[in-house]
Amino acid sequence: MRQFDATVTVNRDISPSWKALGFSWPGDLAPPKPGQFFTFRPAALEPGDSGLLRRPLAFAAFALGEAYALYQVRGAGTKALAAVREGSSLNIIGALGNFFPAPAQGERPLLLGGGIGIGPLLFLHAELLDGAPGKAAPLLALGFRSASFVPDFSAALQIENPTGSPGFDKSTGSPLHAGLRRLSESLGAAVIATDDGSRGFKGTVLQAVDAESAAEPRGASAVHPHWYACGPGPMLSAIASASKSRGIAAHVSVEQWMACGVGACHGCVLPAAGGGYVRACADGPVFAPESLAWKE
Amino acid sequence: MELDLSVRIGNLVLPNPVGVASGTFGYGEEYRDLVDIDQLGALYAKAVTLEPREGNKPPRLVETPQGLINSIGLANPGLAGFVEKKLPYLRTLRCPVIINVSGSSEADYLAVVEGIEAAAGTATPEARSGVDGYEINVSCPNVSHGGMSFGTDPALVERLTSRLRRATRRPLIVKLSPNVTDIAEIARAAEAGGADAVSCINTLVGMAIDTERCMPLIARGTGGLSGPAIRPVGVACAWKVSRAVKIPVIGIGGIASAKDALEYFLAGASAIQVGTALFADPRAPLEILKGIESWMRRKGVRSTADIGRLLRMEP
Repeated sequence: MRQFDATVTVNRDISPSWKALGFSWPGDLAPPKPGQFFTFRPAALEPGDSGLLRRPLAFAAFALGEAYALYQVRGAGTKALAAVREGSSLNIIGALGNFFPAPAQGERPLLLGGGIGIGPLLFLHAELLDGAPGKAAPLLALGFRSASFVPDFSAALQIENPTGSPGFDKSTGSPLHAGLRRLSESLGAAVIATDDGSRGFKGTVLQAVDAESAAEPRGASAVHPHWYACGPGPMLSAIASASKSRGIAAHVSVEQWMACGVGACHGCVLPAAGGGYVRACADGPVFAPESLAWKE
Repeated sequence: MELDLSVRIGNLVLPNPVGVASGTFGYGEEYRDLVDIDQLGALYAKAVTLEPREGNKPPRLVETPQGLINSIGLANPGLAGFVEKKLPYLRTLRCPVIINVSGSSEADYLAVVEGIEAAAGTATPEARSGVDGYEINVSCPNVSHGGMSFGTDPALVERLTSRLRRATRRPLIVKLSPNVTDIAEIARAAEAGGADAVSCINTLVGMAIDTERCMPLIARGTGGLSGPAIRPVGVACAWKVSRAVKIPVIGIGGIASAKDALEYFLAGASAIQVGTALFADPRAPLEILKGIESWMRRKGVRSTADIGRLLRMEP
């Protein structure tokens, strides 16, 4: 964990509802892991503006010294973030929180992302593909309200790469913003579910995963699944109850309003299964669903 | 110009006047990667109660214009948990550590101070005790018993302070609530009870309501409002209190910049605490300290104790 002023390398529209943020990551700081988050404070948000608190965002990719997040402009914090120009600086504290644990031997990772919570699953998908050649391939399923909420990286990559050939930074020889490409590739590999059926599977992301698993050859479905999920409360609650009733290992990443982000203020707590509370920022944001008390 | 930034609180000398406020900085360890803690004037640790407390039902936080409402409810590991899990780290710090103490009854407060006294022992040149003083929290608005209900009654404040006074030689700072008719009266009671200083202000009772869901945004209904929104209230309290008592006043409430801190010094405070501003930028306290020093050089003020004398009521 460190506080640093990062250079914003990417801050652009991915589709009408999504923006991608990329920023430089210190070379001597451990790279973020899927599930972890950072907090940011745009320079425009000085004392005197209405926003006081830093805003947390989950990492969505990490590549070649750049960290990425996906976000939607919702309130004052993300509105100010959207106004930050590429090339300018952004104050970051990260990486914060815990991360998704690796699947156990013989487990098949099934990744379920919903709406605003897709970033950490796209990140986990890319890392699982990288880290485990020969292991059970991860299945990524992402749920949205309708087709118009599905991000589309093609325009952002087009800016990057107008000729269609791989873009390289002339000075370093590195591919430009490889994180955007990783995000796009993981998204391309995902099963898409929409509530209204306007794209992909019509139904919830959990129903999509079940349908997909049923359609797979018996060999693949014989492997024990391990669910990884991030998304709106009702989705996580459904996953918690299904993982319990079916005896499936699961980890969910939760979202909560927070102030300090480092475990000091106890503002972002969630009810724990055995009574008491856990802090989303420091004990999480990734939890085994059985460790949390879910609303019935 | 050689500046004198030190502040005397009872038998303790703070190296500089900028501390971090209780409840916003945990027990220090949480911020070790982000703040050079040893450079702080003081670390006011999160409240310790006799028994462990889980705290209030979430949601516990909501942002309001220039403010933050919190209702944490004194979540803490209790006296035994504090001694076992939190004190060892505090002993490694070189900055003064003030332990915030709360409870539901007078006996609770006393048991916490006595327990910490026994565990901390005395500092030696080789080993720090981890405890340099106590801040007595009679002003928490987020608990049903104790907390603010003590701090609104001058007789209770005086009696509690005098009982705690007999339990420790370490400095006692009484943290005052602004949710009273006359804060100066409570401050005088603390002084009469033997307090070495008072700190003001704790949070103001506040409430925010979601007009779509028709529900309060804090589960408990009300919470404590902090942040720049309350700074004018805090400055006014520091001004009133510093004119009512001879002991030092520690200013708290909405301090996010050196200018904010200087308002408190000009109002009569001897030291300040930074709280909510830490959430926006953990570097704030040490930036504020630098800003105070440069203001003092510019104004030709040698000692922080002299700043209050510069306040003029006439042009």
